[in-house]
Amino acid sequence: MNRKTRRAPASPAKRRTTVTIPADSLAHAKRIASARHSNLSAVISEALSEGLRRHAEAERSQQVFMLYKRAFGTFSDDELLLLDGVILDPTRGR
Amino acid sequence: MVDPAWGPFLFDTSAESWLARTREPGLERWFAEYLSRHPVHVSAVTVVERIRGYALLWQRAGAGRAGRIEAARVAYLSGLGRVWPLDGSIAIVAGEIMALLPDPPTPPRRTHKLVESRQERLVRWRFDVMIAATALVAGMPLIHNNPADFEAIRSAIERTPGRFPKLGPLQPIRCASLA
Repeated sequence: MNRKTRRAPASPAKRRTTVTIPADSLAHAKRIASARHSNLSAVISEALSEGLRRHAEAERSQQVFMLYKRAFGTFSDDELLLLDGVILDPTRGR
Repeated sequence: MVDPAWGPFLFDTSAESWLARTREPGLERWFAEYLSRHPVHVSAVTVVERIRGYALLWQRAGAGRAGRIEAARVAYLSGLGRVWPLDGSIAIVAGEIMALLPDPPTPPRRTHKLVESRQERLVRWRFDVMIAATALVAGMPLIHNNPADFEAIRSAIERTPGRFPKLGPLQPIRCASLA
């Protein structure tokens, strides 16, 4: 009988490390882990991922803001009209 | 005051550049807060207008200035958020609006030295109609800096809801009222 081997979905590699965190945060995380019948590592990983995601979003936001400044900041008002789709030509000859 | 969390919003061409250049601290904060929550949504039509603008400036520039214009264009494209294509639904809505409002509601722009041709004004008007149609189909409020055009479109849609089933109303929001 042929049996296909099912592989478990790949999970990100994990590393053991030691960090120092505020005692009240640790206590809070332990309470959450207990309430969810989960473990402390899972709760701290989730909180860390969320924090890192927000940090990346803030970085991207700042980056896009600066790109917008560079895209439009150096133009005169007349040039900006052209960039905004308003095509103005000299009035002479009209 | 419009909470950035209510987004995402669709940005009209001039709104995008106006918010990037404003020196009003409240509006700068608003835009930064918006960017931390959502990408800037624009119509493909805005990208057409913008890239045409950069290209025309580049063609008219001397060698030194051309490099700075190209750098600005690259910065714009690097920060580009979500671009809405002009698809079948948007084309249908845009066509309905163009039939209701065939002519621009205001005359061509004019300064003491420069003037917009009637043909260019009509092109700009039709682009605005396509942007409004995109906002309507996407169900997003439209951030704009052009009340004459977009209020006319909002009003026409409100008067003839039967031509826009299951859509609307168009929700135009002026840049200056954001913060």
